[in-house]
Amino acid sequence: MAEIRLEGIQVRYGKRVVLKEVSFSVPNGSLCVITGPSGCGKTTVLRVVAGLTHPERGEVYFDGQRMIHVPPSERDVAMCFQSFALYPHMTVEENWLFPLYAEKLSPEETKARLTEITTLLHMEPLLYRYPKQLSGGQQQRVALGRALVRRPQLYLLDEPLGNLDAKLRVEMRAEIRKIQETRHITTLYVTHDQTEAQAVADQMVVMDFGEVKQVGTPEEVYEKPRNLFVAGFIGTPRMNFFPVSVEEEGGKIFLRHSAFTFLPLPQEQALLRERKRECILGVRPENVFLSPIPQEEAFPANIEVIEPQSNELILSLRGEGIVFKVRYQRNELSFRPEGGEKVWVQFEKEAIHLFDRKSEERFN
Amino acid sequence: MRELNQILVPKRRSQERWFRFLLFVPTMVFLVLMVIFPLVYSVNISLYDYVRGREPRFIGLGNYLQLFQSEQFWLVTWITLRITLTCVAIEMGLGLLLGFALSQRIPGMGFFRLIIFLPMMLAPLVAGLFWRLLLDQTFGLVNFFLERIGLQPVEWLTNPRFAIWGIILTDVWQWTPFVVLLTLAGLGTIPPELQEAATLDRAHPWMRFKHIYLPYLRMPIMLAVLFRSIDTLKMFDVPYILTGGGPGDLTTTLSLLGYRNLFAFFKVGVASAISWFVVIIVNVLVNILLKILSPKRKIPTETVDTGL
Repeated sequence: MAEIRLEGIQVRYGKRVVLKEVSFSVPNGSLCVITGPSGCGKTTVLRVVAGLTHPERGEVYFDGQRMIHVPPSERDVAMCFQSFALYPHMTVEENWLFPLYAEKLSPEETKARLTEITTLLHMEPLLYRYPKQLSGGQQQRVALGRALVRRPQLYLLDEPLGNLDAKLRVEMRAEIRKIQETRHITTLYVTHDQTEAQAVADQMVVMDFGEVKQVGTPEEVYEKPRNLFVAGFIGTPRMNFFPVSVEEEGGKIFLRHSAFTFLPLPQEQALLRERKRECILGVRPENVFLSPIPQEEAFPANIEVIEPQSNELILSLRGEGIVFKVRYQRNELSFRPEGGEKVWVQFEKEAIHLFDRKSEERFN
Repeated sequence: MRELNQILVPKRRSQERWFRFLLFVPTMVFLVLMVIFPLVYSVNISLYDYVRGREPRFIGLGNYLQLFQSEQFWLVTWITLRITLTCVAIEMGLGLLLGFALSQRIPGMGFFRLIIFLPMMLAPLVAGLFWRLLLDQTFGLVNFFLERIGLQPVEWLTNPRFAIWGIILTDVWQWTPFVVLLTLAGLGTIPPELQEAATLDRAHPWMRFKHIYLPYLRMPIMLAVLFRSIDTLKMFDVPYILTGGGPGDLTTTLSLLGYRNLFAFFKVGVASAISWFVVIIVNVLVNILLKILSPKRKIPTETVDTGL
């Protein structure tokens, strides 16, 4: 139940800079997902917030109070470690009771918390097992439980669902979301799984190589990725990128590629006229239209691979000098695509993303 | 091909068996020559009235009976046990404390960690000599400082009350570092994230010691107690060099008694009997200590595969 603010956090392990000027804030009671590829410093951010790692520079504020010099035990945070960090000499139940000693609860309250967490995590038959007798997924649930039995200022969850099977993972992420909302406890949630991130987040922080690349709601991050990295990281299959040259012809700006010529919308025309350079055009796989017959402003391409998913199709297409992916709802497609078939391709004009080639920043 | 295999496979199997046995032979030869034969031989000797230069005479358990009736023998046994228990207790307590202190990540600790192991590297005889000089009544450093701070000088090595403490002091000085070493090793095996989890769970120091440190220190502690009690029960060199067993027999250990019987009185049979008595005492005491120290509850080590 605190508002978290990080300002200019810099962390270095030896010579390697792990966090570079990390700044963002999380409003009171919201769930913030930190995501990014492996080794981008997500876990280190959590450790800094918990006080386990001391940053070289920068400040951490809880509700506007400086926390840098507050020892971890006094920050009142509950953390679920990626490596579980279960106490090996205690049973599941004892592992969960351990953090409750410090909370000095009445026996009834303790029992209630224990029962709640047991049913939540489906651990009834395993309460008296030792961590060594549990599988990875079960151990992870114990680790998650040890954080969730508490009512701290802040939950720090480091890949809390990474080892669970798909069904349990979907169920658990909904449960975590529910708990977090009803208890109104600010949560930092680390995951590299971006579907999970999109599903639970109020706010997303996308990181790469120790830098914050974008902070925003899941929709913002998805619909208006601020740079090439975020655009490529969020969304499966990833966004198609086409390096294009900007050319003017008859008062209109065209984006030209060996395979196609694209006429952007008027509002983007102005933006492009200022730049008049090469840029990168990004189109998400679901913003591509396919048609079996020639269309206006369409270019031809061949279907190479068809990957049927549950209710959609992922098609790999090859045009002249380009390979790109298209995602389609099965019932939205007016025809039955077949491998090797020639189709006509159009990009949805409202949903294009334009990036500067040098800075890789978005400019539309 | 299959027929051939039916002949070749069993043949190779039997060859393998022979080879395995062959690898075993050197160990067996070594064990028999160096351990089993001397042991059996010394049991045998302890059953004879055997004084060097005389014909050995079989007397059954006569040597043992003679020992058990001797007041001196029981005094020496009692002194040995007293030295052992006192030394192990002090060394464990001090060693654990120092171990915890030295495990702190404070700059400069590496240097202390290095020098604290120095006593352990000395030969016990050297350590004994060293302390004999330090504790000397007239020109020893210890008494010098005692006088300096206005206390009476103590007859460390000749006073019946203090002589045993001179021995204990030397042993503690030399072997506490061993306990420190094992403690540090044990503390080093604690996963750091476990301590971090305990920190975030706001465990107070006692809980932390009981649930995080102790489980990882149990094995090192057991080892240290074992090694130290076995070693002190057999202690010979320190009293030999420091006090010569005196005053009277007040610092004579069982090993020293055995040595005297063998090399001063040439009573080979009695000396063997004493040695065997030491073996028995060591076994009994070690088993008692293991019983006391082993964990009250068994944590199953087998992993159960239960799917996810």
